[in-house]
Amino acid sequence: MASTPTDLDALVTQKYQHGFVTDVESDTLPPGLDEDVVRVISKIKREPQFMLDWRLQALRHWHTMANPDWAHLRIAPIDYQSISYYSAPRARTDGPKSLDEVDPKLLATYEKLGVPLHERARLAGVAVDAVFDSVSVATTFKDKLSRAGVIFCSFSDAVQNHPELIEQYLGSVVPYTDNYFATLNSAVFTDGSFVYVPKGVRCPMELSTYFRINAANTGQFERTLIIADEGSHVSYLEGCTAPMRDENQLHAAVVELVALKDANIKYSTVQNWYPGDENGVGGIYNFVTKRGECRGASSRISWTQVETGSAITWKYPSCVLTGDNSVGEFYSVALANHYQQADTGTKMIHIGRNTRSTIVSKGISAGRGQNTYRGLVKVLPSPKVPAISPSATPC
Amino acid sequence: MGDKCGAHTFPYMEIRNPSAVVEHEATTSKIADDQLFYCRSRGVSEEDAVNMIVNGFCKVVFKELPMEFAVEAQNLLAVSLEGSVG
Repeated sequence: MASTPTDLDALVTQKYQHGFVTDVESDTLPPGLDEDVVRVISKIKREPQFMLDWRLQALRHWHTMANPDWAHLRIAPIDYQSISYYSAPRARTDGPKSLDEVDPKLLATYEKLGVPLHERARLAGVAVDAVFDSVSVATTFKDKLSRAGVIFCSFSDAVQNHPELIEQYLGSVVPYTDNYFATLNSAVFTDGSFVYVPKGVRCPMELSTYFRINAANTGQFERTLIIADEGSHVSYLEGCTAPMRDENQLHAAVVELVALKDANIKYSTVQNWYPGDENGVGGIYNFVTKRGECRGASSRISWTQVETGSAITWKYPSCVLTGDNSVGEFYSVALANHYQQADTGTKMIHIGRNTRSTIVSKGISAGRGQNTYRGLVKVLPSPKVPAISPSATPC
Repeated sequence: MGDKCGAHTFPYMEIRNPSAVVEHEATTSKIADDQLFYCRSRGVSEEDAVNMIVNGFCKVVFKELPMEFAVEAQNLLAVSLEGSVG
């Protein structure tokens, strides 16, 4: 049974709905990557010495590494010297202090994307830490969260205000030597989100960040760190769209989760980056390292992702189950249409006793899309591990 | 959906523990013509039928998402898939 070719063509060739570019002046570094670039980024962000040292170590290590080629993906060679590694919307004063001071064009962009930044956000009970071209522009509901003792801010703010937490946890789940893209990220990441939930606190609302890549040729390197202290609960949402571009944009993010004793982290992603046009031109390269460690006993980390965008997706949200009785979960829907390529899955590393994990992965391929599930379940000697049921069901 | 796409599965398992219990299952299927025909014969358009089948397929995952997100995800999937039945 075939549908009429005209309907089919019209629908398949449908244009990407979020394809528009906001005209905001940006401070952008000239393309290129060397130690000076790293120093400049670190200086712009007024980082303490330990951050600069860490970045430089990462960069030096990165030079010894090679682009990984084991994935079931076809990737055009990436010229890392042609990428600009820093781009910030030009500050009017010293950074916006309230919504009124935020660039109106920026707000209009969010409006088009339907980001509930104003009142709607509060009604929906969602706090949005809006990341626009690597700099967090407005963070809402800090008060309500800080009353609960929850720290939810941009990564740069965290470096300024809570350097001790950063120094303790940064790179403790994804070390700077981890893999090619994570190492690159460690050297040049510009901003991201930071969450710390103190002991015994149940975070009063869902935390949410809207990522968006805007300036042309600017690879966006986000770094997210979420720490759930003993007995705490937190649910974090990540949603993404990006404007239409011809150039391939590189996105190499790192997300680290740390769950201490009895803590519970739920991380949800809906990803709708520009996948390239119907001929496979353009689109985002999404090379992300996401890993959570259930460090304490009886902790739990749950990843949920819906991937519909990006030209190439390379992403394996994983759980390291170190604590006894800890639980890791992974739920995924990945869609590949047109010329999209997705190589995604998870890793569950069982180290503690009686650790459990569940993997449910659904893949949908259409057009010329290539969809791959790649998963690893690794059980180290010593613990007792009951019931693990990974099931990958591509259609 | 269609004959130009691909779906692949690479499950790796490294078990160094005799007491571990690990299960794995994987299936690959196309949306069956008879499923579509069944829906069509009951007045459901082909697109709606595909959406229904895909949503049913993904439901296990969507129910893990927070409520507002689940609705959004469902719409997103429908938009991204429109008309890709061949």
